[in-house]
Amino acid sequence: MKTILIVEDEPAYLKLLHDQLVQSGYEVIDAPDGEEGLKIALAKKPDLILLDILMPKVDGLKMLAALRASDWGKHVPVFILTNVAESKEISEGMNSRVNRYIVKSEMTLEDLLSSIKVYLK
Amino acid sequence: MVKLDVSTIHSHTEKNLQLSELRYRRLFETAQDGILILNATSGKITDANPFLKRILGYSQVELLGKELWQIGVFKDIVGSKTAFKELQNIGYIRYKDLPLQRKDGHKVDVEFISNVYMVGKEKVIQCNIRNISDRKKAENIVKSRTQDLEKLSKAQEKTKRAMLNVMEDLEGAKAVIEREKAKDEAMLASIGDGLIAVDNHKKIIVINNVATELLGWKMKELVGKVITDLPLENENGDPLPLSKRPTTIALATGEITKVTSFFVRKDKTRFPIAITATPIKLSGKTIGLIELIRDVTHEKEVDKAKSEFVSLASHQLRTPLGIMKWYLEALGNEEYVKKSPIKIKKYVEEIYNNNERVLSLVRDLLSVSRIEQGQVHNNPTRTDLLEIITRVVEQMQLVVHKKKIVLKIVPLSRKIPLVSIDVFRFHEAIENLIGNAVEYSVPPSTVEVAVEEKNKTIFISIKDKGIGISTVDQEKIFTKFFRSEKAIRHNPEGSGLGLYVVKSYVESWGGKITVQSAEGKGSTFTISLPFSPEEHRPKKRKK
Repeated sequence: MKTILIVEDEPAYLKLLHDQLVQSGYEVIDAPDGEEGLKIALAKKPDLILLDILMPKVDGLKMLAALRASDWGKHVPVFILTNVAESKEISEGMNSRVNRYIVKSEMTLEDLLSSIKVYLK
Repeated sequence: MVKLDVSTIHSHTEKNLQLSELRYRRLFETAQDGILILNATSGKITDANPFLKRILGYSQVELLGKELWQIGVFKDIVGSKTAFKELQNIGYIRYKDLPLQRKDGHKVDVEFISNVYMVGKEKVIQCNIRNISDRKKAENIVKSRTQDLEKLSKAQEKTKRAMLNVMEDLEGAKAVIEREKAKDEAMLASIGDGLIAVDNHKKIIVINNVATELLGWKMKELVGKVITDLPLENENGDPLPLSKRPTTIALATGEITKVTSFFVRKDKTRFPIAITATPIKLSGKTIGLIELIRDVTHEKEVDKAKSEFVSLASHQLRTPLGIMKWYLEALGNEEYVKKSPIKIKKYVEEIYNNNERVLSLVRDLLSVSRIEQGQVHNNPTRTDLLEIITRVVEQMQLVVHKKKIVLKIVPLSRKIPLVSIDVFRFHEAIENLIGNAVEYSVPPSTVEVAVEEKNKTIFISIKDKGIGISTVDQEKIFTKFFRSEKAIRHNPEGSGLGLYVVKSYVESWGGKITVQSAEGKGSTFTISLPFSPEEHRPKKRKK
């Protein structure tokens, strides 16, 4: 069974994604911020990380940079899941080799789930 | 008693008489006036003295026994006859100035006095004729001199009056100039912006108080100074190069130039300054500049607040809307809802659709805010446009397919050179145009996206066979919030911002967007993006 780590500070998003991914047959781990997320990622080594950008303590892009700097984290697939559609964040994300940059309010849940499915096949 | 001898007396009288006659004759002969004796009854000349002959140029023979007007001395024969009758009656006539004609035809001016008196029993007329030609000549000279003098004095008068007028005009002009000057000075003093007038050698000629206060220098320190010697810096505190200073640009191009940078005051404090340099032209030549300067600290703060608000709105609004979006979608997919009456399913769908509407409006408003803050071209990277277009088309296939519309790419050029562009904005623009093409198509239909490179320009056209746009509306569709009647009827939900956003993006990239359309037949939107040759490098292979 594939494991997905969701790093998201918004409880409503976190709960829905958690439920939907479990329903789709994944093992799901939650983290409420970047600091926790990095710790869990390095400890549990998930197959995919869904990463929000704007979060307290350590934000998504900082966590991503730290992850890419670690041995294990260099190649782990990361989907940025955010509502920040500003070019600055997008290009920063691209520089840290994110696999997908998803603007949450621009994508349907169905499309998100199917793209995760395609990716983890 | 002495008895008088009558004959003695008589001879005495006779002698006296002869003497008197002699004296008269001498006078007659030598007089310096012309004397003419006429028979008072007939008017015929009986005697004329030598002087008269000299005046009129006739000889004794020519004169004697003739009437005066017979000789031709008088021009006005009728008038002369009348005058003679009058003389006969009254016994005296005087003409102060009478023109007579000499034998040689010349005119001679005379004073003419005639008396009638008795010689014995005979009535005699004596005419005294004085040549007044010389006097007349003198008089005429005096008269003409007088006239000359009068003319002269009139001319002088005129000159004097003209001088006075000129003086008055000058006074008037001076007053006008003074009034204008006062007005200019008042305007200069009361103008809210700092104003600096510069000559074509960049020297400061005039500066108002607002400007001196703003710049932190005294007026006398600034007038005469070369304006480009005053420090201007960029955001990072580096001096602004001469070629980027508004003064240099405006003088070189002759065009109104606006520059925002930072000014360093005499006391080394710094403030954001907006400078508008307007060339002053005299018959096409730039002879100087008027520079208006403004402290834009407040505007900068407002801008910052605005951009903070935008990012706030972006995240604070989008997060709850995004959450609702996914929850509503998940709810719609729940077995419970799927099995519920169609009415319930419709309600959920309606909430979802309206949530989408708000999201799309928020997206458009964010784009507009970005445009208005000039943040469109903020992250250009070297991009393969065809790749982005392909991605957009792929992403849209699902929705398009549901609407029974075929969406395809027609790459007319094999290779499209890489260009520096903000990928996300380009993506947004293409998505917007294809979205419109699909939206305003009448299914089943086709939408074609063509990409082509020609003459150092990339052409991207999106062609639909939809409802089309009227000629009148074609001019307005790129303006903010404009929606055509037809578009509203077809799809009531659009914000009217999409094409405005696309146009703003395209123009910020130095490109153009045009539309060709016929009502009921469809529309073609074409973006043309020129690229510079140095951008034309071979495509790198992606890892």
